[in-house]
Amino acid sequence: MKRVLPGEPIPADADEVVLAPGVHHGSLEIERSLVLRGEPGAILDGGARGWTVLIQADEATVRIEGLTLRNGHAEAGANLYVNGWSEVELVDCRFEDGRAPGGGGAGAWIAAGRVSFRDCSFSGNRARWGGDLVATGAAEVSAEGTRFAGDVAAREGALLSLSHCRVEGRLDLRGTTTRAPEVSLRATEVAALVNDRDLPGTLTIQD
Amino acid sequence: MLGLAQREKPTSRGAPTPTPTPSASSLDEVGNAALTQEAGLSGGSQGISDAEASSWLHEGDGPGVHKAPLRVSSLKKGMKGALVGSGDPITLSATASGGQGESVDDGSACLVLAVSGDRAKVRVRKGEKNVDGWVDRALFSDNPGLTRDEDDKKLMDDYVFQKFDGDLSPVNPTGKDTAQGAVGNCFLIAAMAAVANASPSTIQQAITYNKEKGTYTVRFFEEGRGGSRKAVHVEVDEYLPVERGTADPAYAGDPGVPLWPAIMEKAYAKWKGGYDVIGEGGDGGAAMAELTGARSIARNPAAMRESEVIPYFEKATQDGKAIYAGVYDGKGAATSSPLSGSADGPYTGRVSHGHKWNEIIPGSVRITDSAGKAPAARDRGKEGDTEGKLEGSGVKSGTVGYKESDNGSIELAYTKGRGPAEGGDLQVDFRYQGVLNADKLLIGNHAYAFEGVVDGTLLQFYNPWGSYQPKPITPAEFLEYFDSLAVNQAPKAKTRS
Repeated sequence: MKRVLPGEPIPADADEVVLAPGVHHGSLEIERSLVLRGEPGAILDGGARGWTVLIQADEATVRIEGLTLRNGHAEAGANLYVNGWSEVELVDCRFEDGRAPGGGGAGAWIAAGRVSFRDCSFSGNRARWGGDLVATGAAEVSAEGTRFAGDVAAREGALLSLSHCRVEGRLDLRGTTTRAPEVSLRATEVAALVNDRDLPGTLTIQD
Repeated sequence: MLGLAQREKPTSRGAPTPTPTPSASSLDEVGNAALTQEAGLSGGSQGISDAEASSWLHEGDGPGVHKAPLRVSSLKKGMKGALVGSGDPITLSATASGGQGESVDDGSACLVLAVSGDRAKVRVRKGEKNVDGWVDRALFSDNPGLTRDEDDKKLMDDYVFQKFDGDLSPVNPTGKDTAQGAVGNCFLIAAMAAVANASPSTIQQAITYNKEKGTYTVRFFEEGRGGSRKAVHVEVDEYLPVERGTADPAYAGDPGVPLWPAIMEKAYAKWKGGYDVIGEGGDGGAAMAELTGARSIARNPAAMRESEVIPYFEKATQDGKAIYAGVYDGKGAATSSPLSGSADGPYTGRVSHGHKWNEIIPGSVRITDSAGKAPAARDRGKEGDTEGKLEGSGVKSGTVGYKESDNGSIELAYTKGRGPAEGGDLQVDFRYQGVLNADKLLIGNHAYAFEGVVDGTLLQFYNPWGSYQPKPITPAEFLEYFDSLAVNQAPKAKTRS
């Protein structure tokens, strides 16, 4: 386990990294299994330059806990971009102030893998659509006890499961002519739900 | 990348060809083979056989198949397409059973409002309004929905579908064949250009012209769970949206360049739900993967060192990888002091931002006093606003203009006794969007395809507009202006035996 102070580089070869309180500037490309923990007050700040966290590894197991990811800037998935078939678990994380002006998912863009959010929050993320979270491709995304201050989008053939969550923006579903997203809501409040008329997703709502 | 729609589109192209009148038999025979899906690759690393793409192409073809607009066997409320008949104006009747109605141009885009027997109620743009009326459902042709009129979102853009006869399939395709049109899909067009540069055979084998039917079959790929990939085949006809009164494609395509990008774009739009849908922007890396069947690998420019840039691009080029990159949406302007006034104001002035296309990014203006007397003011504007309000403790009132006519105009007044010692102390910082580097012609919020390393020291990109090509840039400029980068290695194509 490596403990990293603000200003120190995050080691690429460690299995477990703990970020000390404070602002850690820079971005992180995760290429292998990793546990990344933030001590209270730890912030990973992308500096409005590219993705804050980029995960493209296959068959890795990644757990990020207690960390604020903020200030990413990319065409899609500014704070978190997942495009590999790995298991990614995010617990007690905050996704803030991402910008994806060319596409969606300024908070998180999940195009592959199995990704879960637990007790997380999204705020201040701005994008053309799906500002907080986009689940697309064939990704399997679940969230529990998570607050989305902005929009969430399920596209293509993604699976999206929200349990005890709160979506304060818009949740929109749209497939293609070959597949449709599947969304299940359990004890989840959604301010506005939009299921595309032409290419709708499959929506299941449970109390 | 959302990008910008091409701003100055060349006009004129050869006259469109006349269209055949649909007949019941042609409808039955063409049927609804518009789109099929097949199991294809797994893992994205195997070779792609174009035989697999062509194996089904002539399914359903046979004697009596006519070249005709692509029709649908099942017409439903909510479908978008076009009314295509003999070339003469089409009369909409007031009711399903008849009655005088409006006349609209052949090829008009439409939305189906209702279907009753062999009649369909459609909505069509005519001039500056929508008109509704009933037509023979056989006139409906299967086309993607158009983009929305920016001035009135209730209207589709004023384009009509016209036929472009002959085989438009790619022959020795290159990135320079691409020319983005009036839809914000630079992520897709740049991806096409990047793949065409790196793997022309992938583009060539992706589009098949079905000569007897007068249609094209375009192959894409979609990734399934675990990373397996399937080929998706989308069939489109020879009709493309054009600017009304011209024969110039409204979207991809320009006079004098091949039209395979327009066919590929149309098929992609049909697959994804319409031209309007693909105009919402997207992920260029994902688009390259959809074209090649191989996963794209993103690289964060912000994590690269300047010394890494040229070797990275040289290696990717040597490996035959398609390279796509996106530019930041905006840039901070140099601090300026354009405001004049006295005491508590109002102070007025205007900031400049370097190029006629450039505009202030709403919400980005900050005014501070270099002498530290006046409090800071910040604008609270949001995207879409025509004016931003300047706020701050000690600020009495203030505005920033965002409209083209007054973009950058500032007026600011302070509460009593809170103003600066003099107007020249007020410093204005803001971010702008548009042409981020006017010397190198780098457009903000725009995607580019990589073309090559120049003289071992500079990077040459291609603007998918087909115009406003950037000059070669240094590695430092690449790191300063680009926020997204992805490469894609197309699987080697199997040759047809």
